[in-house]
Amino acid sequence: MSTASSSKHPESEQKSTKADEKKQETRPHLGVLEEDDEFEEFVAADWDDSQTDLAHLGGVAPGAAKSGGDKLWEDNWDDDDIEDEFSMQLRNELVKTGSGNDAMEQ
Amino acid sequence: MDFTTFLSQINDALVAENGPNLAYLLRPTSPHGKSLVKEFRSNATQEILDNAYKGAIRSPWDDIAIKYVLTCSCVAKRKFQEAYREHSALVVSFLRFFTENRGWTLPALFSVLRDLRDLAFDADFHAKYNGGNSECMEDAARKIASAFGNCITDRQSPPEQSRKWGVYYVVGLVLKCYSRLKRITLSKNILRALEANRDIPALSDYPRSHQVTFRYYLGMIHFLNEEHPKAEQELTLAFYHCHVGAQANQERILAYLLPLRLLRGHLPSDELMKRFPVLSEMFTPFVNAIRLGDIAAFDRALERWESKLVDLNLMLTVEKARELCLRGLFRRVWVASDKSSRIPISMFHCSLRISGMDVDQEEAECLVANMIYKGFMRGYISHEKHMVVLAMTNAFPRLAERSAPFAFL
Repeated sequence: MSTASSSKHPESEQKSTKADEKKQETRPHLGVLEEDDEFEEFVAADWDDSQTDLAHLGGVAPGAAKSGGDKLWEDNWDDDDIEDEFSMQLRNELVKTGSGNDAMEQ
Repeated sequence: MDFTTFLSQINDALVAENGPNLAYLLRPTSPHGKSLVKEFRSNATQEILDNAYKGAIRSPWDDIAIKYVLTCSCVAKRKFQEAYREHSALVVSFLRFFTENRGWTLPALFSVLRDLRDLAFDADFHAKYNGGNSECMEDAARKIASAFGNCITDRQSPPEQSRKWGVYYVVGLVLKCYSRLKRITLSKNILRALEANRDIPALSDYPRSHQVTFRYYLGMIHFLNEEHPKAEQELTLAFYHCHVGAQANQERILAYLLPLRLLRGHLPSDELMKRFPVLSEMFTPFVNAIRLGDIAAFDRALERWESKLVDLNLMLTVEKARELCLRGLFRRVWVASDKSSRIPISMFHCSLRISGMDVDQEEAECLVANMIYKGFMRGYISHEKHMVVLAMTNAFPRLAERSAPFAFL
């Protein structure tokens, strides 16, 4: 590191060493979720609602879900019409087992 | 800027009670740090500076200014542990001044403590890198904790000028130190001290950056203690009050909040996942598996992400969401049986088998019994008839409706 950049310490130093760590990661695209990463200093000290996720809530309490007016979370997602291979397999097997069972009970 | 100018600017900031300026003057990264290093070069020793400048400005600012030059000089020479020691001496002197002054000094306090932590980080990092031992971070945590005491015990300043306005920022820094040391349990003492002093302003009256950082760490502590409801509450507030431009921080909060929401049956919407692709990559396989009741896919995702989840302390919580996936599977049996209220146990057994779970019928019955006991299904088992009798209405309550979502997990 050059003299110029080392006198810019400590932030620049910290960043460069962290960048080095990240380079060695096998999944670099997951950079931010590294165990050693830290909660960062905020650039500003304070801000208002419009710059947060409170803004889209229109007054409802955070922590609700879609039914409570918060589009970030889904709380009503049970699906009765899933049609996939697993569904088919399940129905076929159930028909077999089901009839087998009925036969057994009779 | 030469040293004489530096001293007079410090003096100006003190007279004007200009905290941000004072913070700027004491920051090793400020441009004048470099020029002061050039001015003194090899003369930057305690002895020479003491002889020349001791008493040049009111105490303890002569010491502080000298320590500042020594810190910058060590930083320039990349002597990280010495830099930490010089700066920590500066902090000790600064705290003497701080305790006798009001809240205008807080910007300077925050700045010198932040630099203390950063320098400790570098000192320990480089010592470790070179195979050595260094405990600067422990020391920094202790010094920052003592600054917390200096904030919270302010009984003289008028409310709006109180040093108490520094309490949450400083606690946040202490928790950050403990978290770096992987000894977050040490935070008990400082949190207890915080609780014991209720004559401080409400957290919501502090700047948002203080609130969010504090709630993030508090939420993490609850999370690690498996106090799920408390963790969810703090992390939710941290997330929603966080600046949307602070993407990395929001991501960090959400990494812990998301699994808690899952357990409650609140799945992240596409919109949310699009905003956080890094989290989406890891969590979407689990979310989809829960939606589909696809146990095999859930287990594949667990295997794929295990080491990352362990590293992030998320494994236990995400594993618990497997129950939701099982509930989804059994619900599909119910849907495939045309929502019949009487379903043979063998059908549930069969669904497990198709999912790749090699269990016998007794174990399948046991899994159903567990689902009923935990409130995921409503009904009872007729053991003699090998039959599951489900409630006529609401046999599979919506996950979000469960009254105690974190119980039994």
